[in-house]
Amino acid sequence: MKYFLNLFSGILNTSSELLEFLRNPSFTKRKITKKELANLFILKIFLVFANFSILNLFNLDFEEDFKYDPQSILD
Amino acid sequence: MVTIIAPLFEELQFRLPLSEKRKHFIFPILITLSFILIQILDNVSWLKFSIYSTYFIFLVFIFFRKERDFKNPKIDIFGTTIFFALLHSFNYELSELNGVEYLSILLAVLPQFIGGLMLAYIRIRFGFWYGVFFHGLWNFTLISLILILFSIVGDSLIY
Repeated sequence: MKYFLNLFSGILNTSSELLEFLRNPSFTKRKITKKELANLFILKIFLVFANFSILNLFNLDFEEDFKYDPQSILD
Repeated sequence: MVTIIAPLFEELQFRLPLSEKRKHFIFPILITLSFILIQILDNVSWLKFSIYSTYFIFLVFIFFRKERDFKNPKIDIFGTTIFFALLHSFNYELSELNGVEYLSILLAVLPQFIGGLMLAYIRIRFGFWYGVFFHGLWNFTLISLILILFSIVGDSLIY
């Protein structure tokens, strides 16, 4: 339970930092941590699922409405 | 190809210019010009040609803008990300779409838009190669999932 809470707070921290960066971007560099990279990756997965929900909201389907063929990636 | 070459080229084209250094514009401009040339020579798609050309003009614009507004990369970030997402709309069969369907493609490329913003953040905050790594890792995960699903479910997944 504690692990999931830590993970969740880490993702929230990373997303708030990302939003703050987009609101007020600057060219200041710093070192990335493995945890931050993992948080960003998990956040991206969440956002992709959120996008699927948005598409469902509009009754849109990748294969039927956008003629998307997953096999084409492998060709 | 999808996990190494594509992320590297996309990062070179769309994220490398998110920098204070003007030399970082050489690769993006050259790559975009070569894509424009491919569209002309192969007569592939005029829509794609227009988007690449507009992106080329945008790159030139931000190259010269750097002198005036050096510290605020907001236009650079959102501009390059919009073009990144728009070019991903060609993953779908656009020719078979019409009217509202055509606009709905913007919803389909929303993950690429958000992903592009994330990659821009990684590129500026942590460095170019972290962006390439993240992009490659994401593509690798997607491809692996698709391959695993294909091996389990087979063609019935699609048809």
